[in-house]
Amino acid sequence: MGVKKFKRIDAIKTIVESLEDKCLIVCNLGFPSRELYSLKDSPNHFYMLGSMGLASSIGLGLALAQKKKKIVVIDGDGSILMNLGSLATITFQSPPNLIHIILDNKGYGSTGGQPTFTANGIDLLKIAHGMGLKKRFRIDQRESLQSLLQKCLEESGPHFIWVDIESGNANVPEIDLDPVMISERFRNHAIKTSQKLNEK
Amino acid sequence: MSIEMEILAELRKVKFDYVITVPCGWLAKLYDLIERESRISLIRVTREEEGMGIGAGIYLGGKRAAMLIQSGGIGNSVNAIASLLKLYKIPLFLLISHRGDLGEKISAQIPMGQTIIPIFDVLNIPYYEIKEQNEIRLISQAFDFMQIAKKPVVVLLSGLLWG
Repeated sequence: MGVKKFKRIDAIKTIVESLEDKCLIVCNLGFPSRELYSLKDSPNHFYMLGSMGLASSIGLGLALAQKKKKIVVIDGDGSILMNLGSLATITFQSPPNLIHIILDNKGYGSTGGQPTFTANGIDLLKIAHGMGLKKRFRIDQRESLQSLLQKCLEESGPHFIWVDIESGNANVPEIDLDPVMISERFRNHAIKTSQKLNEK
Repeated sequence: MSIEMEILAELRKVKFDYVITVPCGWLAKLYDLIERESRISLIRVTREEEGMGIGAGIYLGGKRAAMLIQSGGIGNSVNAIASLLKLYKIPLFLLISHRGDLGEKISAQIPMGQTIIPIFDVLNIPYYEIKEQNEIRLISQAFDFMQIAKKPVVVLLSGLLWG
């Protein structure tokens, strides 16, 4: 892969800046959610605070319930390796509006950087292929992430995007929001905005 | 009306959009009925914990989902119930065959079947057990209660239900 790697917070920034407001974002727990929150807080963000591994599952449920919106999952290598079966379920349900992004720092970044098996060469694209996902990509540059997201917003998915990022976390604070506030705000936003889409 | 038809009638009454499943032999006829039901989509998942995540996403997206699983599946779902459903007050309806208890024929089901009630107790999740056909209406009653309680609610289907 290329030499100019980018930091996770820059990858998350690229994702947030590329998306339209009608997207819903599910973000993996720990530093990814903290970095997203520090960049921008918004009602269309669902910050996971627990249940590691379930980002793609929550995203699949949302994609089924909110068919007119694009659902973007910001997942991690350690997280998806906990829930590989989810990829089979995504293939079988095949939601066209799901964009599943795995930010791969090759480690458990929120617990001290212990290596995950992607550090040992586990190939997530081959796994995705074996699980039946047709639209799968691997990238390591900001520009390619930007242009790919534009394409994914226009075309039908599900999309599986594996992004190589640097290890390390940004110096960002804990999320100081009440979990119930996060879920109620997100759900109210999802329902309200879908009603508007249906009226159009 | 058969037991399965009565359960399906309750699922229709509640207006579930999705039923998320991992198979159980006791529920085989019910799966077939739901698969043929146009108003409810059946979602097959690889493990129960994964299903809890999907159910949470469906709720957050404004639709109604129930899990239809066997009791053993609670074992791999405790973290999702605690740190997703309970943490965010996400009500997910859990319809569970109570394996490893009265009516069980497979000894391997017993250790987990005898463990789920204490698990629900420590998670502080309400549970109601259907033992006779005339109790099947507990499903819609438990659903109504769940809407107010704002947390997962369990309805157990006892082996006694099938004699």
